[in-house]
Parts: sequence; C-alpha cells; structure tokens
Amino acid sequence: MVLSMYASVTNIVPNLDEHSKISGYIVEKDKDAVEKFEYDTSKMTALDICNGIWKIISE
Amino acid sequence: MALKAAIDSVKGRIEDLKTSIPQQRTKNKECATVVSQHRLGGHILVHNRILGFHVEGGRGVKFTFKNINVDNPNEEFFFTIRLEDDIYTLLNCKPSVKDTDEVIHELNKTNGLFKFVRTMRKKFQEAVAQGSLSMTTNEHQESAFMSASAPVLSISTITEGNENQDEPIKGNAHLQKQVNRRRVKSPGSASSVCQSPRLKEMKRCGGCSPARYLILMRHAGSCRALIANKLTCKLRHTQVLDV
Repeated sequence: MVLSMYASVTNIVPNLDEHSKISGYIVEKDKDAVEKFEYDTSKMTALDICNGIWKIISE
Repeated sequence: MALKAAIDSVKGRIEDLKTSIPQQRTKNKECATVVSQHRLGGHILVHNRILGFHVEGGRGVKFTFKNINVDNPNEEFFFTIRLEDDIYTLLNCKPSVKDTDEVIHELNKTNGLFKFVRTMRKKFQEAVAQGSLSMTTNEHQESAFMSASAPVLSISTITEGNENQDEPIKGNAHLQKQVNRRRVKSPGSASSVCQSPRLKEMKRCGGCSPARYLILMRHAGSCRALIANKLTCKLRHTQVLDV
C-alpha cells in the first residue's frame, strides 16, 4: 500500500539494476506515454538529481 | 527380468519426482517473494533517498520532503493530510505556505491527492526562495541605510590666484558633480589641499552581486577633485546611495 502511494505520487518506475546511475521511467497514464530518465551520480550532486527528477514529474 | 527391473526403476523415479516437484515449487515461491521484497525495498529506497520523499501513516498521512533547501538539504518539510467523510483536511504544514486554503479547496473538488502532493512540494520550494530573497532585500536595505547615514563629505574649491583656501561646503547631499581643472599656482597651496598623493574612499552596496562601489577620488598635482554624489544600482536594485 505504501509503495502504491509512492508510485502514484511520482509515477516513477526506477531501474534497480543500474548502480552507478539513477535511471528509470516516468509513466504518464493519461497520455499513454513513458519517459526515460537517467542521471550519472558521478557528474551531478544528489540535490540536483533529486530536483531534476521532480521537475520531470511535475511537468 | 531385465525389462521388469527397468520398469521398476522408472516407476521409482516417477515417484521421486512427484515428491520433489511440490518442494521445488515451494522454494520458487519463496525465492520470488524474496526478490519481490527486495525490489519493493528498492523502489521505496529510491523514493526515500533519491527523491527525499517519505510517506508515513498515522492519524492522517504525513508527507515529508527533503532536498528543498539548498543550504540545508536534510531539512525536512512536511504536511499531514486527513480524509474524513469524503473531505480532506490539512492537519499541519511546516513551514506554512501561501494559498493552502485554495489548494485544499481544489483537492476536495478534484480529489487529486497525488497532484496535491506535488503541488505542496513546489510551494515549499517557493517558500524557501522567497525567504532567500527577503534576506537579500533586508541586507540591501541595511546597506542603503548605512550609506544614507554616513557623514556628508566636504568639498574644497580652489580659485586661481587666491592663496587662501575657501571654506568647505557642507550639508548638501545633492550637490552636482564638480570638476575643478584649474592649476594651482602656489606649490604650498597644493600641498595644503592634497594631504596624500591619492585618496580613495569607497562605499559598498552589499545588496548587489557583484558588489558595486562608489568611489571618491582626489588627485595631487593638477588638484582635480572628482566626486560622485549619487549612484544608482541598476543591476538588481533601484536603491540610491547618497554621500
């Protein structure tokens, strides 16, 4: 139930297999669209990655 | 006899398989459960650590965010929402943000809880940004006040042929810029006017970035006096610095 709440707020399906990068998909059910995101942790700060993902979520 | 033995062997193998297959299925289910829990934990981990987003149930549902304040990424911003009799109520919100009544009204109208959560995160970011701007404005106002309260500088004028120095002009904060290009005849007079080869006095406007300076300069030799009595900071502010 908790996971459902997380997933519904963010619409994120993270890719758990990649450890050096933070990647996954943002699902837009209304538009039947899936947007892939990928961030390299060695090139961006955690704060920038966080806000980058939230920016995509909120679009 | 050999054929019978082979048949018995096959029958025995079949019985063994009938016993082991259910056991293997049980193990597969257990493994699937472990993997599922691992992935479940992974999903939650991404939201908690990467997105700085945490959901907690209780009297209401508490939504907590991090990575909002650039200066303190670990600072927590949260609100608690409760649904009762088909009506959402905001139990608490830290820090307080603007237009929460309108947002709650929209939530009750559309039942869009997930969008509401995203909206609240934006409002927290806006609150932080406004707090930073307010600090900047206060700093600039303080700087402007300090500048305005600074003592008025005196201005000396030298007339050609007059060895005596005129009385300094005081008290006028809105003097026009003056340039005295006349050469002083007497070396002694020049020495008495310019006490140092080059004198600078600078006032800093701390509200601007990069900082701007108001420069007052006097030169020896030709005894030019360049004084700017007013400076408008155009980069970010419209405050006027008086000298």
